[in-house]
Amino acid sequence: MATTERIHGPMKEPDFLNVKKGIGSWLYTLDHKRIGMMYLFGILFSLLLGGAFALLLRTELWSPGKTIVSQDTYNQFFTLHGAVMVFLVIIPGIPAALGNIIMPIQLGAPDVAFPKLNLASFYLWTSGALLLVIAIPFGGLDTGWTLYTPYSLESKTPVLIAVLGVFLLGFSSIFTGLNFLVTIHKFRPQGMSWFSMPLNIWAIYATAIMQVLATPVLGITVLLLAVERFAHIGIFDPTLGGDPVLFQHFFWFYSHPAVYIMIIPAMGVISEILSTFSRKPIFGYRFIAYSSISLALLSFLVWGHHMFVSGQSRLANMVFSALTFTVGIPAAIKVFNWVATLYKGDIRLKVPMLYALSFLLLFTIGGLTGLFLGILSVDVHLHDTYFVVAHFHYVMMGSTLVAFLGALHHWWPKFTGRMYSESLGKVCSIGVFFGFNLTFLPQFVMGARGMPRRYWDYDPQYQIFHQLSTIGAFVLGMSLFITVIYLMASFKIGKKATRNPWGGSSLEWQAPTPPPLYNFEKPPVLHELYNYDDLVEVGENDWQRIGETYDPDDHDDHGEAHVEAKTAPAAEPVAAKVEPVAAKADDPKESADEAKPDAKPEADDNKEPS
Amino acid sequence: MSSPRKRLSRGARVLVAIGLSASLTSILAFSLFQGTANAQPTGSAGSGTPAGSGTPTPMPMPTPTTGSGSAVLEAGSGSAAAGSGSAAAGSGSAVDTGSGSAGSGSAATVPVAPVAPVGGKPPATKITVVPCGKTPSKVIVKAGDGAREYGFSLAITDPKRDPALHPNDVEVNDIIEFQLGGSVNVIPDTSSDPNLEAPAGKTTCVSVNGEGVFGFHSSTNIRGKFIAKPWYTRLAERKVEDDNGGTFWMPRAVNSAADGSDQMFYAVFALSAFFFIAIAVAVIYLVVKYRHRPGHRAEKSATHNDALEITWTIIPTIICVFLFWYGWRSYIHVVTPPTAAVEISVTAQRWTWEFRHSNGVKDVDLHVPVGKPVRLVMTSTDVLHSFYAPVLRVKQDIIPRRYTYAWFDPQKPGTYRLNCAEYCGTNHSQMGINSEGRRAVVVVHEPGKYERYLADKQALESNMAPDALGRMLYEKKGCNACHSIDGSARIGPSFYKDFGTMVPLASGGPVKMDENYIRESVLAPQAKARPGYPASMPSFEGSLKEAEIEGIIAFIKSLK
Repeated sequence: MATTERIHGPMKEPDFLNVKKGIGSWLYTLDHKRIGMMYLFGILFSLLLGGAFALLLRTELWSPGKTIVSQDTYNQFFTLHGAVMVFLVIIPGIPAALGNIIMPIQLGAPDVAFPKLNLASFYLWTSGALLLVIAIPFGGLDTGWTLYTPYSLESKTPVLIAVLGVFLLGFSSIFTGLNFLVTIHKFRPQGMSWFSMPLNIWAIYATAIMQVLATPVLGITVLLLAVERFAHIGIFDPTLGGDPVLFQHFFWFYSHPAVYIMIIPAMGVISEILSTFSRKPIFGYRFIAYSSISLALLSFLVWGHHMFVSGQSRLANMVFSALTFTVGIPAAIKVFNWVATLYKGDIRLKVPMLYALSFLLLFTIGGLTGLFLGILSVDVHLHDTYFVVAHFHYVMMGSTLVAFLGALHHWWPKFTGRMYSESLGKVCSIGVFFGFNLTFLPQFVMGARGMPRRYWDYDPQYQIFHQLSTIGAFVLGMSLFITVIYLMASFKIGKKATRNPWGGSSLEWQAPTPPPLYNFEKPPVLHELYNYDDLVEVGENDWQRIGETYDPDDHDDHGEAHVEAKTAPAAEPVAAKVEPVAAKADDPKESADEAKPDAKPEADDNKEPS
Repeated sequence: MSSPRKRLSRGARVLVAIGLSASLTSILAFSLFQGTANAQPTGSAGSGTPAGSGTPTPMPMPTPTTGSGSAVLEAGSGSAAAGSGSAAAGSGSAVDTGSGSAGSGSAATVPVAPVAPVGGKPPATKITVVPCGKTPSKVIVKAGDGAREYGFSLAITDPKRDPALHPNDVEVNDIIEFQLGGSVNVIPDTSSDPNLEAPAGKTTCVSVNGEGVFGFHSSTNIRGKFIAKPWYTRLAERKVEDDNGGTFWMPRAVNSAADGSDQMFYAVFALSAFFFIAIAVAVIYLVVKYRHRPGHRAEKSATHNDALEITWTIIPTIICVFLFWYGWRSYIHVVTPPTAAVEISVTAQRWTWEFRHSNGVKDVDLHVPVGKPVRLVMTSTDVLHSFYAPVLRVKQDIIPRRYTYAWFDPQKPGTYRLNCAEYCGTNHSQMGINSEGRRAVVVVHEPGKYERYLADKQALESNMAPDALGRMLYEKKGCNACHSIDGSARIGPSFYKDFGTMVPLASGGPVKMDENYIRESVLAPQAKARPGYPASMPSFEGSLKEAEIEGIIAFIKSLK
């Protein structure tokens, strides 16, 4: 607005990346975006570590018997691959990293409700991650990521260090969930009702419920495990009078909701991406929002389906099988609604959209193969085979990680201010899709044929499937590696990103790119959700809302950009102009080390890319 | 937001129609699958994999004589019954060339080894010189004067060989025929087998009436050995037949109790394929049709449609109810054994199986009769394991200090894969592997053979030479998981050529490896532990009889 420009003069508020310099300004930051960025780098590093274990174990499985390593080393490979990927990558991937960066901006808020707790969560995550990584030189971990007793009570590997790590990671997750719950409840701007929140916020909200309610059980479980290992009190060890199956109940009481902690945020970002790149409102907003919440609640009731052959009673099996099928219903609703969103759209196959479409197909396969495992009699045959391995990789990797990559490419320009290489991005997203399917489709076949999981040695009959799978894993690994490389390179050589490169309608696209410390230089204007009628493409990767102007600094490539209504959209766009309530709630003075929003910029924001 | 439309749009109507037809199709599919109880699963016949379909054993190793003990035991039933039994089995598994002879040769065979008197104490394992005669059940060893087509140099142990093909193996009571050239004598390696001597220039036939390893060498110092094994072990060593008569997706179905499970698999497969293809086609069609291109813009359409959305909520709900219900119905069948079942006790331990039968016979392989329900009562001595035989579609975790159960009704004789499906540590993928690299299997016996197995095995176990008993225990008790017998490194020290040597101790000071040291190490493994090995060996106090400890000592002694 003209008044804003007159008041602030030509000086532009520095973005959050440049507001302060030095390593200390990152380590002590209370800014949600910086914390999110630190999560992101930790997660990308963990992804490469977990991926390295995956490639090592796939290499070992190239031939029956020993290919490169012995049984014990292989057992460590799959344990560490699972533990790193689950606890360090997939669980915090979308909520802690991207959720932290994007969710408050999407709410039009300056930060999360408890910035210090947010930083504490990050350091808990870091400590937990370090403990898990430290366990590797101290003898690794060979219990499987599931830590089943009594094996984990007897294992000679440093289980104590690892479970302490898991304990801390659990608290990190709980604090993040708590923080997000309060943020979503309290920091929504006036005018944003529950049913005008972006679906991403709904998903993060559903996730946060589960994080807060389920994760304490994980903490208690690993604590009991540690006590039993340390003090030989009989809890899970049958020789001390304990019950090893009890551990499985405890473990899955957390770890089943954990699957939804992984997948629901993915569903949230996919809703955003599909809508934005189809230029269409999401179809059946309420059904999707309700299905997120119902998935979150149902996820607490189905843990027993991991234990159909564990010796659990038939009655329990029957109840858990029935409940398991109820989970299929909201998942199916979402898929149908996403497909319907494409109808009569104007579909732009940018990198995030390619990932979103991959997600649609992969999640469908992951969900449908879950039906096999929910059926009691079929699960008896398929349980603990590669069929299960393939199924949960379709959900956790094919869906969650692909959605994470889509979300990363969707919001990368917003929080880094740089565009990545579109062509490399497309090549890699296709590489991820084909590499992934080549890796895991053969695993369905060999699993149904009776190949058990966690096998170092196998019958030669399965070799062809293992070899296809290994080739696929390398295609996938290579694509992910190149993705990380070009994303990092974009900091140096990427083109400057505009304020709204994809034409998104939610509030984060009104913030400057990258956003300043408190996200908005002026209060964002709430428009109708997922309405793209008055967003117009004014250049390559540059969209503007009709009738609005922004600080010209944002549009280096196009100079003064004033958009005229090229079309005649009939909708009345502006709903309410609001001040985010949070702006008052969060006194800048409390954010001790942060620069004031109106502080002088310490660096030249407009430095050209070298 | 625009108000919900009263009337479904054209696209919505198409989607509703697809959804309804899908649910109808699936319900129809279930009723059909459920209706045809014994029908073959879809596409089973044509799509079977060729892998290993009845590869005949290259070596035309003649199979079973009934043997001395069994001949006596079978006297009542008569050889005709045995013959007809195998004929029936032959028609059942036409591809199985090897097993066709199992039993059929027995009728013609003259028992050659000394017959144990009924009720009397059976003689110890020994080698007997027998008349050669024209009989199919013999192994020919040729040597000398350039004629060395089989035996001797070929008979050197190669641990990586396919056990089913190994030329060392002979069946108990097989006739081993030495066809020796002019200047070659055969001399036994140990003085306990004097009958293994065969003079130069002559044809000599010997037979052995029990399990054991028999080393010999020629006067030209070519070494060889043969390993005598009973018929049921030879059966267990055959290539597993899981993929004979299976489909692309599933191995052969052997357990009639699990037919419902297979029908569910294929029904859900059809349903999933339908939905996946429908969704994939819809996504691709919509993406191509509404892709962005110059001049193309998004069109207005409903942002939601309650009727449509309720439809596609109800359809999955109906499908899920059906899936659950038929899953439960077929499952309750899989877990409810009939009252009259052959009961077998199972003990799983790292990393071997022990199957105990009604008459006390123990084995690492699971031998069961065809056509009779079998119930397993299972427990573990250490960590979790899981009994999993893919052809039976049976899987059940095995829990320490608790019994879990499984049952099945095997319908097709054969040798099948047996796996541990719950991660149990180092050798999880090789549960029950023996020193020859063969993993434990499930053997479904042709009619009548299971009873013979029980009797023969019991007879053999009671007259086993101490070192043969020791070898059997070495494999059955899982010693082989950690201790090699050829000097190669494993988790524990190798037994090879150790006896009588001075071995170093972790607590300092070497000790002579004698009978007492072995005894102590079996009963209290950590008392005099060797350096450089983890303290992971359990004590066998109470689980080994005195004679069995002696057997292990004799076995270790024999490894020179």
